[in-house]
Amino acid sequence: MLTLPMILLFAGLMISCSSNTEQTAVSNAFVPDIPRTWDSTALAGFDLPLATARATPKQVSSSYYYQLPERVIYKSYPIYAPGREPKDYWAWLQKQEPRQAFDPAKLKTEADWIKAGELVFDASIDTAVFSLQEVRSNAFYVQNRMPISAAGNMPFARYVVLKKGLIAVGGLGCNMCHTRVMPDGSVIKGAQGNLPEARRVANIFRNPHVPKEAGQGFVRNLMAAPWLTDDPHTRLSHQSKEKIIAALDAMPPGTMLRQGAGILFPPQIPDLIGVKDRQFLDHTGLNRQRTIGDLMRYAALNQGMDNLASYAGFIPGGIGAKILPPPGKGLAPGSAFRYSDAQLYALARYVYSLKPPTNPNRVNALTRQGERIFAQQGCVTCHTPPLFTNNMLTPADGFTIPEKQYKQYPIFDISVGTNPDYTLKTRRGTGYYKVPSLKGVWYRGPFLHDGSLASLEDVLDARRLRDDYVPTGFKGAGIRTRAVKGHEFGLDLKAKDRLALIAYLKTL
Amino acid sequence: MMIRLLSFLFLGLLCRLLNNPEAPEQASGVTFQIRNAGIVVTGSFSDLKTNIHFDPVRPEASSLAATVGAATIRTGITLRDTHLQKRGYFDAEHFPRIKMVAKRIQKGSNNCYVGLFDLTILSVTKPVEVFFCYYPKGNKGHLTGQFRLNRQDFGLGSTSLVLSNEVMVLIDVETGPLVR
Repeated sequence: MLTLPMILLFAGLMISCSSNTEQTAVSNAFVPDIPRTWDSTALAGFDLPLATARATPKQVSSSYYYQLPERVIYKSYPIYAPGREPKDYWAWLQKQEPRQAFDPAKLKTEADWIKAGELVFDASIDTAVFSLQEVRSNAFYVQNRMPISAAGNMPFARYVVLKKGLIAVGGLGCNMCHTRVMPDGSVIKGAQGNLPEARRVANIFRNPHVPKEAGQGFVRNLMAAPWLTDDPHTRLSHQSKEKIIAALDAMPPGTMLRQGAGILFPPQIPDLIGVKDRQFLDHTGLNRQRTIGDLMRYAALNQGMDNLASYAGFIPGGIGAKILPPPGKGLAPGSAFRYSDAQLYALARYVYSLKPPTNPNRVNALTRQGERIFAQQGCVTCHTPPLFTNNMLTPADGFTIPEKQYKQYPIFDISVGTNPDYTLKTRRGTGYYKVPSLKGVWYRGPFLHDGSLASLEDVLDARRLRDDYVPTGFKGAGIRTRAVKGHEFGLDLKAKDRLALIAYLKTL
Repeated sequence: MMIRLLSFLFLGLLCRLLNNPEAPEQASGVTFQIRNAGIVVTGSFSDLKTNIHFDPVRPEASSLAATVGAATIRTGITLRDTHLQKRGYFDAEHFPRIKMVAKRIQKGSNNCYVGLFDLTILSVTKPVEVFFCYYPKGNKGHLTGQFRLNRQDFGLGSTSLVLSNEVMVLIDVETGPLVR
């Protein structure tokens, strides 16, 4: 028989349980605080001035940006190398209907948003970069020495179903540059990618049916910085197809053909794993990362919007490179559409969630010795634990820091003497290089901002300073040997100390 | 453990030096030590200029002043030295000299003294207490001493996860003829 106190106690427990259940439900609910991507106030402090200050990009207005139609993120499918495709896969794909994959109304938890962000990461913004015929041919894999995952797929692009029976290859997604296939066939998403894109484009240009104007236009639209006196890429854009092919051939996987960067001075692809802790984005520190909103802005810019920026009147994706096309009418890749703020937020959450793969290199006596050398050699000053970067900007040779920038940005006021061309002679050139993090160097490469050196061993090899050195990474158009100068630390270490230092670095 | 042992040995050596009546053969100038990522980094300044009139019997009547060139900092890594000479650290272009001027000297035990000095780095002047000993040699002698400072008190660098704020400065200067 229930007494009154027992009933009260029972009722109390019920209330208590009910209250806990409600609390659990509340704590699981995720209400995203989505910043406005093209916010004029936030954009004002987002870009660093270019080294040629008058050419600092003027981005499209907020009004223009939000008139662009939103991208639809469709479900996409893996591309398998010939002979690796599952049985009946292609026939099955032909029967699929296009399916929208990103619907913010269905995202209830933080995990949902991160998972949806991965869809955005993998989603193409263009279906003309790769052709269906190309990715289904054996030659594509052989000639380009295309990395293939253990599962047999080429993870840098994906099939998309445009309509039932009409399949295209989606390209220019984040996955194109930021996916790495390891020697064992494992795939690291977000890492410094190793798609041999320059080699692939060079091979396309080798086709005698591709006119030289295609190559020249490619260089001009993607790389020219015409405000520079005797701009090297404008010069290249007037040269023969063979010269352009030679320049492309000099770029190793791990560097990328990227708009605003360079063929002559290519950028090493950055590792996105851990990017949340970086204060600057791009090797040149072109954009600041103060909040998640800045990463969203960065993604929007680099997925097409920077083609519409005005660099002292030069608009790379403009009509005649001078006039902004009407919203939605841009012809440059990625410039006719925009991501929704929700898509960019999900993408940024996904990128922030990326974790490095399990490091096979274990701490031992050798790595501990390497750690001591790391401190003794003063590496810690710039590559400061635990991030292994001090998040500062170093001026390149030939750049004079404007007085007011000393107060605006964290500047480590010495040049480490690496090649200054990327930060002085491209659309992304601020005059600085940011101090990179050393986290994850065990799964990355090539190194230095231009990918000149294939391995850590090469970075610490004093022979690289000699003119007869054969660069193990980026060589430069038509160049067989050259010195790879700059960042000349640890070059005089004894062999056993060098070994220990490298062993330590590979544990990071 | 090794670092602790080294620190212990170093401090032991310093104590011996400070209490040893035998002066070093040559003044070694101004050196400093700071921990960076657990490692003791030793550096030095040169271009030492002194104006020293030291009376070991009446230390309160002494006058001691010294400066070193901020651009002469050396730590064994050239690029680090270059960085330390720039803004954010010693800004040698705008503040070329580091200065120390004695305000008060008091006799301690044996041949040792405690001095209160004004130390000027960049545009910051702060008092520092220096424990030093005097080692006569003929008509001249050495003053050998040490003090600690917080680099951030003088605007040297910013907060760091690996670089200690505390710097130990070791001074070994030759005095002129005795003033008595």
